[in-house]
Amino acid sequence: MSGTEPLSEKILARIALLQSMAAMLPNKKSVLEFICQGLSEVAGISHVDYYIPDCKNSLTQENDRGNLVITFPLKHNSILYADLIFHLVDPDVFEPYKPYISNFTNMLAVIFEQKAQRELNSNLIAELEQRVIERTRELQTSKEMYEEIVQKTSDLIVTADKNGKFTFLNRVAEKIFGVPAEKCIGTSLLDFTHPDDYTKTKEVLYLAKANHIEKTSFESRQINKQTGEITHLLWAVNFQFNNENCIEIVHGIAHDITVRKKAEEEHQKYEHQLQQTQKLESLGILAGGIAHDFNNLMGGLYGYIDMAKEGCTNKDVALHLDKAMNTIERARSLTQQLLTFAKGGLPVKKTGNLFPFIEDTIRFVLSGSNVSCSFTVPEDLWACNFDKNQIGQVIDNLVINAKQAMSSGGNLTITAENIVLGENKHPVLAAGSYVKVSVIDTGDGIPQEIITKIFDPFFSTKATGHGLGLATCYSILTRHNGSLDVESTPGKGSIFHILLPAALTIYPAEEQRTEQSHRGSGLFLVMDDEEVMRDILSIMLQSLGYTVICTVNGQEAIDFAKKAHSQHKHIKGMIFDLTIPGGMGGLEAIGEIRKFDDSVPVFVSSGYTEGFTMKNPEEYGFTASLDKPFRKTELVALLEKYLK
Amino acid sequence: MEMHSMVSLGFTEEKVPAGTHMCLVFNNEQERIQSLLKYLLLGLQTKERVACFSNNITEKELRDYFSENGISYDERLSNKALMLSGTSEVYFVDGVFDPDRMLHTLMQYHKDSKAMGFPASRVIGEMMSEVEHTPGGERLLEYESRVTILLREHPITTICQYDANTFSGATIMEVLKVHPKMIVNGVVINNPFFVEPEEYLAQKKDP
Repeated sequence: MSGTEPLSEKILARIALLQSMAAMLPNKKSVLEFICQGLSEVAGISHVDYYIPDCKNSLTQENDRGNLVITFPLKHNSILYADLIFHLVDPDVFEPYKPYISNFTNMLAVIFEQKAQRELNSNLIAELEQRVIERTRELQTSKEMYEEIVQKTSDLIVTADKNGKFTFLNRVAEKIFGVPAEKCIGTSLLDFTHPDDYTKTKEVLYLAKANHIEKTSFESRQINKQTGEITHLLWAVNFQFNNENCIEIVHGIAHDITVRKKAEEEHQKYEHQLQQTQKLESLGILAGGIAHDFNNLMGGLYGYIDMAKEGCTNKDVALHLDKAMNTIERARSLTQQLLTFAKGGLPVKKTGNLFPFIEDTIRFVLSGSNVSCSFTVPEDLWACNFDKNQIGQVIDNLVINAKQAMSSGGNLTITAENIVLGENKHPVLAAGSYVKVSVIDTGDGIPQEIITKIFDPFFSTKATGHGLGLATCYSILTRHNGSLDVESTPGKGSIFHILLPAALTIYPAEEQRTEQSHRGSGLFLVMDDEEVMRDILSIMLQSLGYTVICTVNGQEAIDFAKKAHSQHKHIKGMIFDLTIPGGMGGLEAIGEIRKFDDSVPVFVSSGYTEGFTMKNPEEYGFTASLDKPFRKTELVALLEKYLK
Repeated sequence: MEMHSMVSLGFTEEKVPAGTHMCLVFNNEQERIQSLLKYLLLGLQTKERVACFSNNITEKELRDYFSENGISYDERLSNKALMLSGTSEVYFVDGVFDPDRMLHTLMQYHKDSKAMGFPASRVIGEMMSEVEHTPGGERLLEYESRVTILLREHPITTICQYDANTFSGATIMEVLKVHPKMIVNGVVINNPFFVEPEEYLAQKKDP
């Protein structure tokens, strides 16, 4: 062949076709194999090889034939993709094809770059897709975790729109609102809010909105539409505002604090009762002090009048002395009432039936009034252990109040029944059997705003009332392990319920007192800081035949007794005042006396008649107790019993 | 050699003589499926008998496509105007690639088509790269070359589809040598690499 050989159209067509198809093949090696084979029939060459940099064994054939070679680099933008190596057999014949081959290889380089670029893009896209998949998976996991937390939490979680309409609620909504969460969408919190909390809740939300407050918290009660049950919720609300400072979304989390609220209510009730008890205790200390001094003074009056009456022969004087004694009886009753509050004012319980005792007391109080009464009492009403005087006091107070509430007349209904209380069926009473007595009047009733105060000491709605009546009743019944409850409708009347434990322990019936006389002789030791008491005791004991030695405190009494004991002088009996202000009282003195004489009768005397020592004198070494004030007959009965 | 009538292919405006043997080297799915569907549809529309040998087309796809174009798949199937088979079940019977059997099948297909009164017939087949690992697979190019000879007497218009992503560049170049025409970017061109079958077969016999 020679260099004048015309160019083969077929070869040029092949080069064109190779160029069009090269891009279709997937990789460099495949393209180069395709090209080398496609160009192998170009005139003037034996064959075509390729060489890929950094690719071992990429040279398709060994260049060992000693032929001339011409290399066409497939290079673009300084990147060499491959070399096409043409093995020439007739360079002149090949020469006219060189520009076509050169153009072709340039185009191939561009194709390789595009492929590389595509591959890179494809790798980047694959990487991005992988990241998107991973991120989506993470988001999905996160979303699932969030949904699980939101749905499984015991708190109510909601979102609402700018108008406060719910857009999301977790499952807790159904428990609290009684409506499935999906059906609550479009409703608002206020639709489930207790009427008493409606305005407050609305205000809190309005203020947050108006003042652009991002976070707020409040308590509100929600009503279950299904059951009517009320749930106390503590809300934490977060408002999201947009650029124009308008609410966009509201997020709310509410914690159920019903149990805590109920505990608080119980605690408040307990606190109230504690305060009541503390008030009564304070009053008791005051009352005890007054009663003590008052009883000492009355003891003197009582004694003097009693003694005067004994020696009186004038009928008119005797009548006046009787009236004086009756007046003192009333004063004694008042001090008794005060002493109910005194510390240790325990009831002296005896087992017995409340009826007809209560009926008699009521009829007596109502006699001559314009209030009628009716009784409904079952025959098998259980017996109770009660202090007749104290329960009588309760009935007196309740009936007097009822009578005053029905100033223009009315009817008082008394019902009684046996009841058995279960656990937690009464705010203060333990489970057990009780006798319930209800005193029902048709009076004015008690306004709701004061009904919680009526048992407070010194609380009274009456101009002349001292405010001790109902407080006394409450105190008495509490000390009987019972209760006093009230229900009242203003304008219709009130009902007071007395609950007393049914008798499980039988106490001996009250002993009948009979008029007694006593005659004695010998030495009698009296210890009292009140001169009046020393004096009247001396007069009474001397009138009974005793020689009386008076001392003003425990130490003096002990000194005298010790001296008498050492001189073998027999003391017939002793009467010690329990409390000596600023000195040794009876309680300390008896301890010393019993160290050297455990047989002499020693009586404790006090105005603190409700005290534990007075109720249980034997436990402290005394022989018996003598309540101040006392009549001579009571002293006689005591001496007759123990010194006969 | 008798003169054959010109037929439309469906995916290009150009017409080719009936019995033309073409190869379509594709590298994307869209190109493959669109050329296949349009080729078959045009055949049916012109009352030809058509056959498709492909693992990558389903009855549903064909039914839906034909239905969209006013042709009942089931009707054409029942009157034997349409034949659909997987590549494997036609080319690799009993796991062997047998060019003689295939050529006979083609010849019989053409005879039957004429006997059934079809004015012409066409075939599209997608060759799978697994042929290279199938017993007899080394005779693929021999087969393709002999198809060109067969079609002179039995003018079945034929398209052979080859996936550039699954065959090597060297194989693709060999495939070009045994197809007189090729379809490049939807255009039918005379193949400059084509080697007349007698010459090609002779070279193969005596390299």
